[in-house]
Amino acid sequence: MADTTDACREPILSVRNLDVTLKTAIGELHATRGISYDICPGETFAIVGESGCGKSISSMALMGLLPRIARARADHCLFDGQEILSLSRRQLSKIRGNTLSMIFQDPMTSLNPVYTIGDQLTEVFVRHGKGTRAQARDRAVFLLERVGIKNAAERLNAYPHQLSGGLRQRVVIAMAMMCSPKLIIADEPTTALDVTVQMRTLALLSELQKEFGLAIILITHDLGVVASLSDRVAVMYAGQIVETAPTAQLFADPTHPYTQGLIRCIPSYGEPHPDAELPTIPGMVPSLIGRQKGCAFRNRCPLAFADCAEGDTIALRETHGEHAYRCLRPHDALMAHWRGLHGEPA
Amino acid sequence: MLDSAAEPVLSLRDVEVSFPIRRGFFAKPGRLHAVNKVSLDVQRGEFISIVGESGCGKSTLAKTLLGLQPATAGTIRINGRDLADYSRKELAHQVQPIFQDPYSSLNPRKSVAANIALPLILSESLPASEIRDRVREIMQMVSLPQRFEHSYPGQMSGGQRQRVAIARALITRPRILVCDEPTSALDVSVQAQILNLLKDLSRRLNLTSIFISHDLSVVRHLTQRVAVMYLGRVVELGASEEIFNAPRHPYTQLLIRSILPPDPAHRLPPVAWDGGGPDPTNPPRGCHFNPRCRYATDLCRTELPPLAGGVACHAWHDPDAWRAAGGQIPQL
Repeated sequence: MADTTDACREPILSVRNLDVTLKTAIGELHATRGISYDICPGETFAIVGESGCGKSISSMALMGLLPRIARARADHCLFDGQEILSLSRRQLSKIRGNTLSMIFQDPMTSLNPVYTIGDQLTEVFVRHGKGTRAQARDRAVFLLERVGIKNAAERLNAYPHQLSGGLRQRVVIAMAMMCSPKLIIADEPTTALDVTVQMRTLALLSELQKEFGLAIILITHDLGVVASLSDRVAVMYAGQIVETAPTAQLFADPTHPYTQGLIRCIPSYGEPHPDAELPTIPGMVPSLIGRQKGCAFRNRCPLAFADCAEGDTIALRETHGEHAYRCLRPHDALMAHWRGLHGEPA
Repeated sequence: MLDSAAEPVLSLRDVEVSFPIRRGFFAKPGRLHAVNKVSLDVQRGEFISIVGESGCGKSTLAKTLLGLQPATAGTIRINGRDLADYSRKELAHQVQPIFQDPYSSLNPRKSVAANIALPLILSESLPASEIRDRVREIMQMVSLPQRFEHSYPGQMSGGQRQRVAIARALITRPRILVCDEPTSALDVSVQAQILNLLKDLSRRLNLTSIFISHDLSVVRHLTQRVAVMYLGRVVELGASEEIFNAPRHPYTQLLIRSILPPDPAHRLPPVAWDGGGPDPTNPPRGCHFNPRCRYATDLCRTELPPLAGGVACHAWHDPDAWRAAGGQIPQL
């Protein structure tokens, strides 16, 4: 099957053909279409794309956190061998915060302002029956120290507003670690942080992951974050994965025209030219209302031709290794285009 | 017009903006110096960036330039005339803002054309037909198709809204544009479009642009000069090339090391928590950056270095004496 990326024998999470649709006043919105991936224990899998591409909502579906108007369907979504899309709220709450944790963008909204840090950290642990309150406290102190918070025992009595944004996000990371999860879904974990704090928070996540053998799904719009932290990456556009590859390979051979455009329009990519224009991707994301035909990127694509508008969808094709992309053009032609963009002979 | 070639369009001298604060009911009231002794000259047509992290005072400075937040000390001159002497209408013809969030900075209940025309209607009495012509002209300039004239902001994407905000800023034909994080809320592919547009417009209209951002990689592509702010003060000021290729202040160096390039070969440095951001209500003695600085000496802990020769750092003010005292020159 072309739509699989079998990276390991026993994935901690296996998603096949996940479709999320939202009922809106003007029709059915296809937020994601046919999302498939496997996450191996201990790896960081990045999902990158621009707003509205479906990167967040696909993970919300896994956590059972979809809004009421949304509906998720899939061939399967197996977390730790268990189908999670069909779980009841009660069954889900046994998993969430326990073996499957989440870190959100804004640490102020994921912490409760009227409880102390200590209350919130120990609650997760005790609720999931991992031990007594005293044990929870010990673990909280251990983890707060591990994420670089000094005087951890004292800090347990602090309220979220008494901490800076960077500290709060580290508390959220510690909280996600309380029950030794197997998988953490981190949705834009550093976007709200200052640049100097961002770098250190990412380095912390990477260290924790190695130390505790966690798997991480890293959802981000920032290819710089992807490059510095992830092992594998999926690029999403208009609800579909348009390219997936090991991270090093994606940056070395970006194949899908959207990936190519996305990499080129990052301001820190390549040499600065104060007088030159930044490369852009012209046009806009298509509407996701109703049935989609052909390639969703065709109206912005420099390589589009008549066939791109045909058929239900473009199949995901494999090049080599675990590298796959969703485009009708052959790999050679796409790579020649990429080299051409850099003024090299095609 | 007043401005000659020699006279800067915008001139700041020891500008301070401070706020009264009280940390507890019985605590002694103090002052938070959001902007502290900032001096800066900006020439006509120049594109200058002010960078720094949250709380460094960059947005307060922007508000002050727009006349939205009075300076508590120092002078700001626009075309040689004191900012305080301008009436609001006059100021609207000199300085216009572009804000970060195009979702909240436009009136959702007015059409695009009405949003764009508002500054013009408020500051000049022109016949309706001329206003319409000016709106159309400016919409074309920012590449907004005319069909959007009667649309509402809610029907537009983030990039399009930011174009509306730019059009609204330019309609009074100002000389100075103050852009406060104009692309932070946008996607990267759209961000590039807006940055190109801003750059192109400032060149075509010979605008003076003050670009406020926390994102150094964006700044590198855009501006001729960069001012780096830390805790209300400018700690380094220089040509873009110098700032990016040979940053001198340890804080500028830290900011540049924090840029994450889209390159998997670039590894994250091991985590070293340096205590993080400072408390602006209680800045450290001496150089404000000293608790986070690995080059800091006793001199840095006692004496505040002024901005001299483009950098506010003792190590660079007298490198020989600094080395003789056992100090290390900050390296990227």
